[in-house]
Amino acid sequence: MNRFEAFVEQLPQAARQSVSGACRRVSDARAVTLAEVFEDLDAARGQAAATKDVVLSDLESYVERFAKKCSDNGATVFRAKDAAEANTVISTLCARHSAPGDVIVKAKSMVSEEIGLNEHLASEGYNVVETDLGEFVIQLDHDTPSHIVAPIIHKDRYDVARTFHKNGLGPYSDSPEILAEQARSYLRNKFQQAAIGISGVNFGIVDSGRLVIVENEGNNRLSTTAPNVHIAVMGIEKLLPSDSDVPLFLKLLVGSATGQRAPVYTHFVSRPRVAGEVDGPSHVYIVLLDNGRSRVANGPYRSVLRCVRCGACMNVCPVYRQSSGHAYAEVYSGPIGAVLNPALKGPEAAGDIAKNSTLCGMCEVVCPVMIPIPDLLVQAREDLAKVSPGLKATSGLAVVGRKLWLWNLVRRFATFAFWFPNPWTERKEAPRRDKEDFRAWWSTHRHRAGSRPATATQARTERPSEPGPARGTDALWSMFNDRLVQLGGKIATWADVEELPDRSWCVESSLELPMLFDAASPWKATTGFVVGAVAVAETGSVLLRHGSKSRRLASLAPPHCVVVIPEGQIVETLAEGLANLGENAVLVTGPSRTADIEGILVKGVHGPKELWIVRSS
Amino acid sequence: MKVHLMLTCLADTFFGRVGTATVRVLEHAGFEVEFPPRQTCCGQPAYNSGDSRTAIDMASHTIKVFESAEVVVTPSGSCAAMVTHGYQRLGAPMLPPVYELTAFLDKFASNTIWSGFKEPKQIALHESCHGRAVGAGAAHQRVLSTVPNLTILPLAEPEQCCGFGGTFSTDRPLTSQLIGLRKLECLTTTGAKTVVSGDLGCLMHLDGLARREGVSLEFLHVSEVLSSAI
Ligand code: SF4
Repeated sequence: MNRFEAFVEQLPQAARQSVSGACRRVSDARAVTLAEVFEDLDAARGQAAATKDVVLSDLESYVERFAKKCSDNGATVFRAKDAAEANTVISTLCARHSAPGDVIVKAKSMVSEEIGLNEHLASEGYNVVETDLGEFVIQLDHDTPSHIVAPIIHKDRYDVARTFHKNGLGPYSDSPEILAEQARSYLRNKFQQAAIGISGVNFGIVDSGRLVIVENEGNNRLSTTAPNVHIAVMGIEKLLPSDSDVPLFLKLLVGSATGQRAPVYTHFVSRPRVAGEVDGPSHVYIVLLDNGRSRVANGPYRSVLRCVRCGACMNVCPVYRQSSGHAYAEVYSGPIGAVLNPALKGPEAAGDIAKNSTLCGMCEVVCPVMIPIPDLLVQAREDLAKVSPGLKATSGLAVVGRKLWLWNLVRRFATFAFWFPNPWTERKEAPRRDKEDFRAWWSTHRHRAGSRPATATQARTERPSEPGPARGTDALWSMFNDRLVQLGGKIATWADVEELPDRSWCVESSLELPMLFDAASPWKATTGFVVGAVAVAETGSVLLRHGSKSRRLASLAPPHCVVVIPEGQIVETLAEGLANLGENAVLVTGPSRTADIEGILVKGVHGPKELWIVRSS
Repeated sequence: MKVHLMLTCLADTFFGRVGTATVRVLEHAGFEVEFPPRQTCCGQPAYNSGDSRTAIDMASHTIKVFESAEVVVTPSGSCAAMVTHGYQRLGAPMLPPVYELTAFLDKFASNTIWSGFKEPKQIALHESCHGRAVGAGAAHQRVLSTVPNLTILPLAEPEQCCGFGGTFSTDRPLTSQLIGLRKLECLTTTGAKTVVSGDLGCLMHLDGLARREGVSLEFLHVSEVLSSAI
């Protein structure tokens, strides 16, 4: 039995059920949301694939342009050709801005797993704390993520409860809400202590030198806002040509990953803090990792670099559902891992990981960037076959299949093959050969064959698509309201605000509130007030721009956030909403949330639990 | 129109009744059928396991066999996908158009009249994965919906694979079995006593599992359902 099957065999039934149940739920949510969001999903996927291919066909020059733009914006850019170089760069930066023993907060990043960053920094004596709920559990358990989006998909709430209890995070509880609350309060201090925050990146925008980072919990924003230094690590394939590509990719990414219309937080980072800003990191470092990507971009596996790491291919994969990510014994698992590992490492180092697929093709069906995963799996199997010595199990086919007398002989005795011990009959009954042989039947039938024309016809109908009406401001606010309520936020009035019992507030300086309040630090305040630039009706999002008067933590650290938006500042689509991003900004879509524990939605992890939007005239 | 039948190696080796049913169905729908006897296997097992040399040998053989065909019809979504998409990828395209049986009927003979079943018949339909790539699943649905007294019961997780996957079932037999058992669970839950699919690979795998597990279900190829509805 090979390693993969050996893992599957010992996998507890409960873990298998956690994995397949969560995969089913997310796959269903994905299908519903994407059908609602896109009139023509395949056209959108095609456009996304084409956009990525433009970059990938000339990757080096896009990387150079991106690096130049980022430096012009005031970030410091490093290029690392492999994991060792990336780790060295990062530990040098850590040494510059902190000392061994210090806390470093880290947001979820697959590329950091790829290079083994945590182990490296730990070996240098740093105290790296994972802040994403799932990754935090993984770290406490000395485990590894088993899914690129849902790292603890293989655990249930009882596992998490035991871990938290054992580590002294609070009294034993298996309620996902209480567990999230325990993680929140434990990690609060870490954000405040840390001098450095490390994150991954979802998209790097070449024209603007902007990093786009998406998340739901708020830990990523906190990790990259509270500490004075932000180190962003990204694979060089994460580039998109321009800001105008962001709305399409955002919708495809989160729709595919979790079935949301927009992530709770879309963080736009283009420069370090400037004079006059109250918070945000003074240093932004960007580490661009190659680690085999340039080579892949110039070979048969190029399209695998389109991947946006949404995990949809894993969720829908029948093999993944039964085996979980750990069976693949690689950082990237599931269908994407079965292609990415051979592509990056070569056939010998990656072994037979590409065989962990039935080639059913659902991965390709759901992939938002149309990666032809089954074809690439076959490619990887071909590459592996080329370096494996000896006769192939199927090479006899070329002999038998081209000589009819031999073929007929084999057909006749095919059932004998099942008489000997074999993997088939170990688990299921052998096929029963029909008494009726087609060739025998045909030789008598063909002399008698006649044709009978058919008569009746049948009408076929197709669903016409309805064009949407143009919408006025009120209609847009009502659409916005519907979305916001679905997300668990609400549209509030100043009267609601006046009734808030606790007045320890943290207010952005550009906002002149019409009432008295007790000014508090963002970490102490119960409510934070900020001004939003624009509301987006189709997703129920608000865009906050970080200018010189902004206070980013006001929308992030207090458990309750109030965003004030001028009445007329509402647009229908994400594309319109993101048309004018300014410099640093964040798109907020509903209250902070997580579904890391058993896919159960919990509101308010690291970011605010309550989100109110006030329309101001 | 004259169609050339690509029987598939599974029907040729184990399931002769499916070849017979396919010919009956095609003739009922008004087509003349030709069976080129030198055909054997399209090479898919070799292709899927990465043995491209053998796959190319079998592709050239198959292309030669069907050289003179105007149109090729096969009772398998999987083989149709192989000789269209797979051959293309191997750089050995097949010239005549190739259709899976019901996709062909749906396109060229959607007005065919079926007398249907005397007693109401309920089935669960397993759409094969490779069939999806050549439009077979949707075609099964459409063609079967024109058969009187036949009902397709709703199936949970219809897009999920049965776990066969050709050489996968011997490379990863345990995983293949677990996927298959889940599929059997969904199929049984429909309440149907008959499971229909357009691919013999899936049927052979599911039938083997069901018999081992003591699950009593009847497994039929879509051509058999249609031929008994003539
Ligand atoms: S391969 Fe496609 S579906 Fe899979 S994670 Fe990447 S983008 Fe998502």
